[in-house]
Amino acid sequence: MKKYSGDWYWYYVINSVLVILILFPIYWTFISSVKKPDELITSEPTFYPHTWTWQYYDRIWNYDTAVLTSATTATNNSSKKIHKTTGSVTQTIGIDDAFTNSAIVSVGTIIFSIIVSTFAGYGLTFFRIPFKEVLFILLITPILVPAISLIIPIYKLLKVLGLTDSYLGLIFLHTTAMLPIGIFMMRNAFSSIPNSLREVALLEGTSELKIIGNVMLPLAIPGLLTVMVFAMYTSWNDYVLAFLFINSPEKTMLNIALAKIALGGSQFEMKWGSLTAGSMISFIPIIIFYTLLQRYFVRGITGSAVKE
Amino acid sequence: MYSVDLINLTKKWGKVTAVNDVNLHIEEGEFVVLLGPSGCGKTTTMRLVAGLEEITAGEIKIGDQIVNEIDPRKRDVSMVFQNYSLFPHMSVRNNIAYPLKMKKIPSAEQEKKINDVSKLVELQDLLDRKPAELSGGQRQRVALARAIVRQPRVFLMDEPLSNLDAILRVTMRSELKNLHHRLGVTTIYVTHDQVEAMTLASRIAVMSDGKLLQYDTPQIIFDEPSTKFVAGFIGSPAMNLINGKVVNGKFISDTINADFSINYEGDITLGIRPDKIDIVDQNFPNNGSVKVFSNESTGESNLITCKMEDQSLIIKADKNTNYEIDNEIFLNFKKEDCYFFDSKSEDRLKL
Amino acid sequence: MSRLRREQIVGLLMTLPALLLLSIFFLYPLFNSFWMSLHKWPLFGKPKWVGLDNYVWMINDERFWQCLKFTLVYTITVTPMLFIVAIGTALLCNVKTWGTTFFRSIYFLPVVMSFATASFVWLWLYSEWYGVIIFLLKAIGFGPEDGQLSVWTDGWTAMWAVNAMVTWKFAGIQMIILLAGLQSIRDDYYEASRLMGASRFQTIWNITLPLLRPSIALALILSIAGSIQAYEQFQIMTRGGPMNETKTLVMLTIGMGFDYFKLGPAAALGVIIMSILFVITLIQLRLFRKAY
Repeated sequence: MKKYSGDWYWYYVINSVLVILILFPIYWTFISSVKKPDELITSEPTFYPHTWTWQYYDRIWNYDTAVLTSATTATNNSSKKIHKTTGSVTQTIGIDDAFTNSAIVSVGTIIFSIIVSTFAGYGLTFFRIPFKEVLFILLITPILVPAISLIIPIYKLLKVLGLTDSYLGLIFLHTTAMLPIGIFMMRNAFSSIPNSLREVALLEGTSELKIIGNVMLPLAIPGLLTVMVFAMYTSWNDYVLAFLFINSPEKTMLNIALAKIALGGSQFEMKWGSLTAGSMISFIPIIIFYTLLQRYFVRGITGSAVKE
Repeated sequence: MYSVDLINLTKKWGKVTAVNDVNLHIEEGEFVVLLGPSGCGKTTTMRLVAGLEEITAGEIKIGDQIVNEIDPRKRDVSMVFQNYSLFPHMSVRNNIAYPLKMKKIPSAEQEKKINDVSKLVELQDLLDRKPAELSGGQRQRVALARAIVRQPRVFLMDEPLSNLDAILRVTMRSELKNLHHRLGVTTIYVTHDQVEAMTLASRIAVMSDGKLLQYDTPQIIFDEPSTKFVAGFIGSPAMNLINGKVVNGKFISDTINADFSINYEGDITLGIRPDKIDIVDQNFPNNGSVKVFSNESTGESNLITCKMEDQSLIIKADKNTNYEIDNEIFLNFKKEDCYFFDSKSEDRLKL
Repeated sequence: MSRLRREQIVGLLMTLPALLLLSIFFLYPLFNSFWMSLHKWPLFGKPKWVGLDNYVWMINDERFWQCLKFTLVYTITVTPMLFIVAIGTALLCNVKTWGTTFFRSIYFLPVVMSFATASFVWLWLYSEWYGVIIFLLKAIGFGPEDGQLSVWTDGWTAMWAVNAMVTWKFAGIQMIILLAGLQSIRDDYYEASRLMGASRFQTIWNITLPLLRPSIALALILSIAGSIQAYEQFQIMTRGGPMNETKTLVMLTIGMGFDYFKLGPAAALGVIIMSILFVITLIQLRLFRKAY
């Protein structure tokens, strides 16, 4: 029946328009990061790059932090790694280092989150723990309390523990923030595995640890991937905690480093070219994660939505 | 009251033909059952009548009106879904009222209709409950009430009893039969349960693989099945179907032979119902012997299963008999109780 | 030791790492924040108990009310924007046809990037001299031909500029939540409704929306909670300007604690924010309690 072909036409038109609107800012950022300064800084922007340059990427990526911090007004310093910075001191760390810092913290968070959530989720599913439900609710509560309300006490705490300005401190904080989602996910993943599988293995004499490794984990892989995806998302994109709790220039996280460029008062082409280039750099890892593991993002949100 | 006509009805999903050139005329007020195994196309056929699927070819008429192009909204057909499809967020009353509300019937009249219908299906006390609070049987009655309240031209029922437990199913069958008698609305009922079909239908349409095999009253379908499939589908326990050959007028198979002077030559399938086979002493004239594979007592009779080379046979024996496993028994049956089917086309042969 | 006992211990051990993290990095700071809010914390010297003084001081401070007002205004304006875009795209993506998954993944894409990165992207788009949006606005006729057109000079336009960015970034998550709700509505409800004579509109009104209530509730709760805690977007894009017109409660808290070192009042603010959130969430849950 041809009745609905009119509808179909509208469907694709509307969706296409929306796709263009949504993708435009990202597209724009990308082409801005590769336009030569003349083309970039103009009141008549071009919609595709007529010129091409990698200079912004180059400039922000290779940055010798040590030399910079000791030479605040380095304008003509021509040591191997410093490029002409036109005197900007807003960037205090090479983006390559900032990238690595964020990567370290993110990977750490992923590993910790997976371990903690898996064990807790497993325990809560298969063992008759006293006050099991209470504990579970308790572990979910962080999602209701804004991190903001706790930053002051957390700062004092980190100081006491000697974890201020450290990767580990951030990793702990990010993992704690991940607890509700991670445990929720893993508990769901495990509870959908019939208990009888575990019972059969126990009857055959397998140790608990072996059961987890050989039977449970493989079946819970979707859950694990979801935890991994959210841990990456939480950690890589964090701004507030990274901003407040990391002070030394060489440990600055990626988001903060970029913010410094954005908020600094350097010359225009420097700032915008560097900023858009930096944004793309920051965006790449997460977009890779997203392309490969997209359905786990969706799964995580849908899972919590449905169980509500 | 309205009649329903399916004329050369065909539905294809890409390369797969779900409904294959079905022709059916349903009289006003009839209760027709579409019977067949899963995947035979019966539900699809019904959904075509409802308008929930689009026709590939053919026509559907309700009364004198061709309804192919008419939106389901306007066909004035109501349906009881297999899982009842009760709106979970509405009370029973509002569920039943929904079709009336959609037709913008004034609320006083709605009240009256709802009350009448709920009396009919005995739901008066449950009107303010939500579906989640009801048992399976009660939900089914709500689904019925909702379908009835608007007095449509045709009722469609998609395996409405399959989600009920065995005892409830039997009770509801008689309720449905009585209801149909009272309301007299033309009904199309889909099921794979042949007992339901036999007990409820005025006529049964047996389907398999998208094709209509036979369309007759239950008794005729039972006594005169037109194909091997129909013969094997109706009756419980199922009719025995023995593959063999006719040579010189005699039926010969691995263990069972019959000297019936059959006017045929070649491969043939012989059908005989379990209760029509007698077990006799070996000295009496018999049609062969078989070994007992298992015996099951149903309380009313004994079902003896026997295995031959690669076929099996079920015999309904008297409940007081006792045939042990691995014993050899001798069988006897008469020609007039036999059905013969062509081996290739599976059509019935009158011999 | 009985089997049950052993099981309990092993189980508890398995949850121990999580519980440890929870206690150290969440529960302790949580209680501590209440504790801290009731003290004064001079730079040198010991903390002094002041009871509710910090709260009183905070409530009497005009900046608090200004930030509170702005945060609420922001929440009230951005929430409907997010919701409308989300439900629109959710309805679009609920169609089972070629391309739907693709469209869905595009709409979700902005969610994935960090808030900070999104802010940078839009900062560039809005740049007074060189931003594309500014260029387009000028082309339509806003602002001076040859000068700069800034959205940041007026608190009101600044807020809407940020709203646009936030909508772009977060509508995707709401869309997924609403989509999950839409897809959990069984097809045969729609079929039954259609057979009973309902028009498309009647079906949406009587069947879809009521059954969608829990998802709508969840989406709204998350949206409002997030808006009340707004920080990055304004910190990076407006820095609270002009003249603190776009300063949020969280910005105030952080400034108070880390710039002015007034730890007591900052902790008090943290508690206040927590309470506001708690009350608002409670109200919403009440309102949406009866889903069915």
